[in-house]
Amino acid sequence: MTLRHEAKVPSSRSATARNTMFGAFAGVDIPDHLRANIERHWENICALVDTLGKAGVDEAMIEQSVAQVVASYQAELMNSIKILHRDALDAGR
Amino acid sequence: MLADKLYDEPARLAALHRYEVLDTPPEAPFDKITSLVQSILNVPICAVSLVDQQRQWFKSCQGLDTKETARDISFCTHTVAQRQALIVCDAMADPRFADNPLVLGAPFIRSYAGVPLSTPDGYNVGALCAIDTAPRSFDPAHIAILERFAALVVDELELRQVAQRDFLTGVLSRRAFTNEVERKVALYQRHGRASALITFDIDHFKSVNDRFGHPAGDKVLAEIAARASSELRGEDCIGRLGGEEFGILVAETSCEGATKFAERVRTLFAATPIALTEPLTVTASFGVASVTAALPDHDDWFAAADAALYKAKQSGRNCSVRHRQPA
Repeated sequence: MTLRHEAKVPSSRSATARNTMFGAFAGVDIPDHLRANIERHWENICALVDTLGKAGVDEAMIEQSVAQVVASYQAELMNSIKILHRDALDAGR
Repeated sequence: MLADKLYDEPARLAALHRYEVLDTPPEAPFDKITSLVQSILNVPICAVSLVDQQRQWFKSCQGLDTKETARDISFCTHTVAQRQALIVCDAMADPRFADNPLVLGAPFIRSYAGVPLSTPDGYNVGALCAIDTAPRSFDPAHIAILERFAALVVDELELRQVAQRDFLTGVLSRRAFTNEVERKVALYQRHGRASALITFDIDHFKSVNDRFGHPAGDKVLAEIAARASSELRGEDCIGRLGGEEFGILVAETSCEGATKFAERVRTLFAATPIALTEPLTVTASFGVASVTAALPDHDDWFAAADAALYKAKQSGRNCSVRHRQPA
């Protein structure tokens, strides 16, 4: 899966976060309205990293913040994809 | 237009209720965000507060052992009334909050910074807030951090709502639409609030698939859903019930009003052909039923609308029929 904002990734820590977040979804058929949510979330994570850095928050805390929000979003994203595919099968009946 | 949404309380509440998050159990994504904010801003209390009609309810709260408070004493009700952050450096010195029971008593709030949780379509459904029991200032960097985390909270809420959408058309799935119908039945039973259910079915849809192929059929479904959605007001909703059948819930509307609405949508469908390999005029048949005491649950309501839809099909299609109670 390629996202529009991947080019804006500000640092290696974000690249790691990106792999954590999206690696599990390579090749998964994701509907447009869900893809928009993923793109917006990725933009918001990049903006958070930038804001925390400018506020003088230390690197360890930034790493911890990104890792936590990415991990929990990823779990919910997987759940959403399962529901969407199940509902798509139901709607086609 | 965006400013108007600050004052459209029924639509704001509808936007909140569409998330179906009130009174749900705690969830890790929200707890992680409040915990991080608590730590980064060094505050004893941080909450994701959702501002309902009479209360603020906490989806997540660090440092407070409560799930909700009355809305009229909540700080966050002030935050949702504005676009920017609400900052209170010393509540005792602020005439809006000096005699607030949350300031004079537990949890003894003295300072507050709250950022609205704003939906993509502009409704402030709640706030992400950082609270201290001592006076303090929040500088622009703190507020920027709060704003970034608030955006992540909205992402999480949106993600749950996305999962309620039909894969192909983007309207509510049958499961999510049925939940909305159940909610409208409950509102009628509790408060007597009228609503109407419209079900509609694309005429001769099988022939579209047979003649143009299934990708073209999918395009027709998506286009019809988009056209119907364009006519909805803030509190209305549309769902795909299966195949080529859809449902529309029209809030606070009589059966007569909903029938006029159905006619408007029907006319909209027929007015402009859909561009396939050749232009195709698509029509649909509509059934309309109001929630009444004679339809005690959502299955009965669906059955009434479907019976009217069946009559519309029997009457030659491309028309709207109202359900009438047996005498």
